Amino acid sequence: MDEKFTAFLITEKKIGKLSIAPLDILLLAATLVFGFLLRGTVFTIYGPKEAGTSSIFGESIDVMKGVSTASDYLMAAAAGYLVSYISGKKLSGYITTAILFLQPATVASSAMWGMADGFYLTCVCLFLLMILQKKTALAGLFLGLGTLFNPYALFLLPILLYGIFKRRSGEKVLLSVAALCYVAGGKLIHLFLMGTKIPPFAYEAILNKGRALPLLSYNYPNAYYMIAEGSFVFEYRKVGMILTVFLAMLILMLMLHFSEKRETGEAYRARFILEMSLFCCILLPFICPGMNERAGLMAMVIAVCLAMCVPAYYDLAILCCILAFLPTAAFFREGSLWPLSYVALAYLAAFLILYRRIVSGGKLKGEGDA
Amino acid sequence: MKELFGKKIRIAGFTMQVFDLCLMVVFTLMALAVRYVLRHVVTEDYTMFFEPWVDTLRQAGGGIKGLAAEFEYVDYTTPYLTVLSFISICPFLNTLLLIKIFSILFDFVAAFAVFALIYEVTEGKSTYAVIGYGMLLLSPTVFTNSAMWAQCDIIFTSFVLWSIYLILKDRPLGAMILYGCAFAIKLQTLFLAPFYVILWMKGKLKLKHFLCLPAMYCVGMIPALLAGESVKELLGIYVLQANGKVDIYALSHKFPNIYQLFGTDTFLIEYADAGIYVTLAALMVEMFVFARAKYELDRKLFFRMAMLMTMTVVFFLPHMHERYAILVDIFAIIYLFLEPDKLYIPVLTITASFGGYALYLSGGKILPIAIYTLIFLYLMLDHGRYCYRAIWKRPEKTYG
Repeated sequence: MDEKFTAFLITEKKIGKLSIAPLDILLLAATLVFGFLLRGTVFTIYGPKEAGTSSIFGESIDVMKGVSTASDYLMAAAAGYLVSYISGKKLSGYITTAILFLQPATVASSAMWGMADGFYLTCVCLFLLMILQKKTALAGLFLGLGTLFNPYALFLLPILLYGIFKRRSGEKVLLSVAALCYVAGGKLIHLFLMGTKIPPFAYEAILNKGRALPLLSYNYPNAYYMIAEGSFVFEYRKVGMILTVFLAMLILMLMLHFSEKRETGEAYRARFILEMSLFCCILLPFICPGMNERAGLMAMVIAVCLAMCVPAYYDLAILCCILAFLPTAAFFREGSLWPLSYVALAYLAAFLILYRRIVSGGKLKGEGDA
Repeated sequence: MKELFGKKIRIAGFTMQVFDLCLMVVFTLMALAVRYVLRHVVTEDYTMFFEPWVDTLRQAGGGIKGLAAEFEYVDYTTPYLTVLSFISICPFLNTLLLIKIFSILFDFVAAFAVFALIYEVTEGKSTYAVIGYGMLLLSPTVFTNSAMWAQCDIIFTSFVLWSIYLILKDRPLGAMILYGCAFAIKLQTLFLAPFYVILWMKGKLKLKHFLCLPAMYCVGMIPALLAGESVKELLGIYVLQANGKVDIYALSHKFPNIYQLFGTDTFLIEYADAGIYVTLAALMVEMFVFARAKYELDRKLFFRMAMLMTMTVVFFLPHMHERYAILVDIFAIIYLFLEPDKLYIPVLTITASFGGYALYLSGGKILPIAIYTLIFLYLMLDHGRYCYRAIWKRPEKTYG
């Protein structure tokens, strides 16, 4: 009886086109239930700045929290699909969905803060999927959409440019260029939406305006916490932007250089693109000025996806998950328990470890097949 | 389009693609933009030292005449004072901008030196050389030093870099003339002197070439002699600096060295003297090993050794300033192109070095500088380990 029941639980059944085991359904259902319970417990927490803004938005903050929660699930599902596409294992995809939906940083961003970061992160996952499938024009479209929701998606621009350089022979250059233009246009649309006060974008804009001081970084532990986030703000902001563009160019050149050695098969290509995406998401916000607490979310999502495809990356994934939550915690308790300058060192270490692994050319200790 | 970018051209003995040239232009524009943003920053060093010095030179008539001025205190040698003296009578732009522009010019001289060095060590890979050029120009310690702080460390550094380039090209006399020029500008050139001694031991230089140092120093004195200054006073500038009478109030001036681990403000006289002996002892051991052992001085070992010996000096010597590791920062950038998987070397070197800058510029609201000291120490040990393995032919453990 027991054997029959356990066999039933793990035997895949056809539901329409989808083939899924009852235990998988249980996992996804439990993820949903626990995800909502988790969010429910922190739903009534408001950030220190909300006191001022709640009078403007009234009850819509709670509505935004609800919408943000839904966007989280979209993001977790998209990341899960990306992982199952790369690894060829549906189970890895389900686990990714569960991990990301239940991440403290994701929960804090949506249920405590009401930020709809899930939308842009969903776009980022779909963008990576399109890059892997060599559908560059669609990839550009998704990156543009991501930029529309949050400009942080632009940190993946070197990956799109790489995709354009390595596009299929039949694909028209014009389409890729059009997609690229859309990325640039995305920012303008984003600004337009902020101007029209459509939540949650207007909400975020008001929060940003409400910051007491112009700083080089708002609780995001990057290079500016190592050189004092409040000094030479005007000068370092501009210098930081130039350095970010310089580094993005170097990343693109590094990708083109290593791609000759690394693109030996589809699995290694996928891994290489995920590695380089993570590289962009760690390095560029580390140097880019004006980052806020949620700038580490994209690195967290990509690190989890990478670890689910290449288990040897579990250490970086754990590190990125912790680092993504610390700044949010610092925002809600109005001060970080750990000095953020020390946390910035951890980001620096993560970046150096990742670089070492990328140039080592795919030979990692204890690594399974990608 | 691909054909155009791939077309090879030859400029000043360097063969490069049109693509590399375009990249170089982009990096140059970025570097200029960074410096333009920082042009109005005024630091304490400028208001306390450079500005009064230029005023004094101006009052004495400026130009060569100005060099006869009576300073309350000055620790710069004639060549740089001559520059300041001409700046004092320059009819256009203000003093701050002119001082910065002069240093920025040498940022580019140094960047071209890095380009040439990387081109040389990578056997003609021009794209690497251009990336190195960009990395130097956009290295925080380099642009902060010249464009923000109005300091002039990049001037002597440029001469040292070209000197190293000529050594690699087996032109020892030219190399030592340039090293002598660097020495005539700043005493900190001597941080690398132990390495030059090793190069002499390994047959890359001859003893007579070392005469270029005093010779170039004397050449540098000529403008001041023309203005009527006494030889004794001009020769005494480095003695004044070496005696540590100027910076005596702290064992380290925000530089992440050994004194940051146990306090920079106690036993000033005793620890300063002890520090000099410790430096000499550490150098003696290193120089003995490097001079005595039989090994081939390849390019990697060359730069590792140069970094190790310079770092040893600034790590143990008392009264070091924030900016004194600039040579190591640049060597670390060049080294990246010899071992591309060792990105941690330039990143950590520049991070540790910039820690001192940040402490000075931000007023101290950053990581405790002892952490940067530990990073610096780790890098020294890493270089030491590499040199030890290379000299005694022990294989380096590889990753994975």
